[in-house]
Amino acid sequence: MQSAIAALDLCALADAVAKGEVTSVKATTVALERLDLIGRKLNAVVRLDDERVLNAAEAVDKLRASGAALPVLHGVPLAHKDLFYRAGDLSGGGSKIRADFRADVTATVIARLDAAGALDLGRLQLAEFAMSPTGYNESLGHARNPWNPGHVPGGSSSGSGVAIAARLVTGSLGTDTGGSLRHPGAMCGLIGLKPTWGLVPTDGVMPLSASLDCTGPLARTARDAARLLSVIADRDYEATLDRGVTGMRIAIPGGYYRELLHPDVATVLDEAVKTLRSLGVTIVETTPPDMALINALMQVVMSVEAATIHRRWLIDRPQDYADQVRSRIEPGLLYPATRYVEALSLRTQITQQWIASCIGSADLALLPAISIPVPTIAATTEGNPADVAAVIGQLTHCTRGINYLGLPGASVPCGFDAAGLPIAFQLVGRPYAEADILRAAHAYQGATDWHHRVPDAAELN
Amino acid sequence: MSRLTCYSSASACIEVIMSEDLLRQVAAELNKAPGAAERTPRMTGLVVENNTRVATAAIQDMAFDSTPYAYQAWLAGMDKR
Repeated sequence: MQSAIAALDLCALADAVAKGEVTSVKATTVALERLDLIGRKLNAVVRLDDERVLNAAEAVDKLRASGAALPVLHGVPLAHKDLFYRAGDLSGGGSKIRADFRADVTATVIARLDAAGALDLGRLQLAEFAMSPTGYNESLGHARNPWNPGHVPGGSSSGSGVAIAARLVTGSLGTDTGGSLRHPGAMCGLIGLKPTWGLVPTDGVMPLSASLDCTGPLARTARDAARLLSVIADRDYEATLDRGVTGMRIAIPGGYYRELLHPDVATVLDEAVKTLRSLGVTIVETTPPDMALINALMQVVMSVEAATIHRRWLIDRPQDYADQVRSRIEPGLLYPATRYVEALSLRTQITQQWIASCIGSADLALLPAISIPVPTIAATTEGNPADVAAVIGQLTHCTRGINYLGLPGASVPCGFDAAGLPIAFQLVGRPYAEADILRAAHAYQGATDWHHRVPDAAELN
Repeated sequence: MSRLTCYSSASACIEVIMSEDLLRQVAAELNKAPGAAERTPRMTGLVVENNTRVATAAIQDMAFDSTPYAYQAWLAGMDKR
């Protein structure tokens, strides 16, 4: 029974609870036990609120029994990246510095999930201050990839990715400033959806770079991601999900986006493209613009905004940052104010140029999510700092620019590498193209079974 | 001293010179962050490169009447809801 419940995806669990086939108390108990046992083993858990959430589960089961109309996530237990505030609760941001911080507000997205009937189990691991594409966390320990615990799970929303892939929860909120939803999505075999900048509220979420930060869902299926996005964006992304992709045009930008592509990843992506063609998608090839400029613009905006909010601690508590994290923030102290304003002022025209070059007349662009196979933890933490920096740079090669552009993007699992780690492609659209991205991902998942595969660490067998 | 005088995509290059000493001063005196000032050498190359790319693009491509707030207005216009 426990394994059967844990195997359900978010929409299936929501349906089962709504029909009374599974009580919310049972679903919540299973999730808490698995987070405590497996989640802590994989270092994915920061804090669980057992008593409060079980009381809430009892209340929602009584409500269902009363025959009341039920909201779309009624009684579904979820857990989120430890950046999302709930008034009165700790919110450490994966750091030593904020370990004792208690929020006095509740994030709007958490309040929207509450209103939709979801239960909040607690908070999940992340990279320190959401500052690493690997999930690196020197002070709290590195979260481990459930597909192979010697490998990184992707970050910065690392615990969210681990917990969903290991079937501990069915969905989770994370944030994405340079790829932090798409990295764990790609590396754990999940849909990680970064919405259009500004679509989903970010108040009550610890900031990293306000001009780039996006709140979004991680889930196993496009349908689950659509359900979560519908709630947190307060729009309907499920209505168009089943319309298929016949006639859809997807562009494949070459150049920069193929430069670092590992042959094993390229082979898997080619197969995914074939599958999309078989579904009726027309593929067109495009050429990206000057990505070195876009990456420079992103770096200026991100580091200046991060340095602005971290400067107080860079002065008073520099020793309480991991060097790998501090080294990404400190350059922001050094740019002239004119560079920062220029970077923001150029944003519209650079975004329009990227769309024209990379998407052109198509509906979406398909990029690699990660150009290289998922690295080991050792490869991203030990040895020559230049080598470590190179690996980390490779991980964000296809993701970080999208945040400067503010465009929506999602990781879609499409295979595994020789070491058994997931590979994913990334779908990117024009502003507010989330419905198209989810529709394409949903059609692809309808023709493949990558998202049904379960890592051994889930202990479901 | 770190100097970046040109990059491949720029038709008109801007010479940008940012010395380590200047950046160290910015960290130490303008930002009051002495630890960051000590670590300036490892940041200089990155900062000079990004500064030059953005400065050059702004001179070449940024409209005089541009504003950092135009992006939000453009995004809002793209929202068909």
